[in-house]
Amino acid sequence: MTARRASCLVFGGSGALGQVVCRTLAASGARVALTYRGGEAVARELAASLPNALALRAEMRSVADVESAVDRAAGAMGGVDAFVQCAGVGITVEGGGETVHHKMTQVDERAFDEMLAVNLKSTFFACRRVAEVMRAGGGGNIVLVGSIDGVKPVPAPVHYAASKAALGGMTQAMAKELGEHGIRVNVVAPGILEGGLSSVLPDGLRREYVKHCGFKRLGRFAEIASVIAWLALRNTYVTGRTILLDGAL
Amino acid sequence: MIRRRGGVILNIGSLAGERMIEAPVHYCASKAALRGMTQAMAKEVARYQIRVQCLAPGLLEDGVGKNLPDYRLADYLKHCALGRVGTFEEVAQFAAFLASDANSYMNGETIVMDGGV
Repeated sequence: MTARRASCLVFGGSGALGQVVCRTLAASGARVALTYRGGEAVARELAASLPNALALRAEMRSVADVESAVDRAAGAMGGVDAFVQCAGVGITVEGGGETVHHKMTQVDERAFDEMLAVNLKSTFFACRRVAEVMRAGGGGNIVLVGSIDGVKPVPAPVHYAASKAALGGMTQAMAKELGEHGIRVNVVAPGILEGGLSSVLPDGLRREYVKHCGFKRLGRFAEIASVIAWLALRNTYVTGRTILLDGAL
Repeated sequence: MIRRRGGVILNIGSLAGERMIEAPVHYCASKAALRGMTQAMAKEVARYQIRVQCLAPGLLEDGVGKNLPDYRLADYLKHCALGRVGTFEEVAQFAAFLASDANSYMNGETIVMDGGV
């Protein structure tokens, strides 16, 4: 697989990190199909700005939608060489203002289920479908976006941390199962970033992160996207790993 | 690097320092120690914009692993998801990326590169 010919599917390509990932992949010569849910205008504008890119609507809460998005992307690009899962949710508890850090007592069954449905279940079914496509194409790379919340003991909404930590376990097992088909699976787990899901965090938590971060600053989308792009386009022997990008927290 | 306020240190560890495998104890200990050293060093010098990382390969096509008995190689291949040893070229390519400016927010990490053992 060469970057020049690679076909990449990016779930959540209209999101803050997803947009940068799409641009980085395209800049490396890859063809990109990206999905969106609410950000249609952003997604279409982004797709129009990238060579041969396409934007697909997909609801992560629907397995049928997830599988359909994979099929449509694979059909349009003639396969999928790399799949990047950037789609995710940080808040599923209703109410509570713009900056929130929900405690366990606030997480009811609906909020818990929705968190797992979007961050974990959709990822499983997307990977399952993508793996079928990649198998037929001789292999590929799957890169999931995790979080420091699922790796290190930091203050985090418990259901969010659980959903992101689960990606690590899923990645190990998927890597084992899919290795024989030439499919590698890895997680990139960022610390707190300059925007995106991190923007809902209370200021106090952000300050504490910066205080304990070796670099004394938040991460930038481009810094995460470049690692994702390497794993998606260049990686041939790293698999089953969760790679933390937190500036030495 | 401290004087010029920037740089990258990349240590080469080993799968033997990360997973419970049959290997010389002092070798495992020395490579496992690199993880701790990498973390502590990263924490100490990050303020100078220095990144410290550790790349821990599994069994490679040659080098340190070439004297392994055949049964150990067969065992590795059996349990490696990708079903093959790594190549120097693969490790070199990853090392080059890890040390590059494109990898500017990873610090203190040890990354195993073992094809899914």
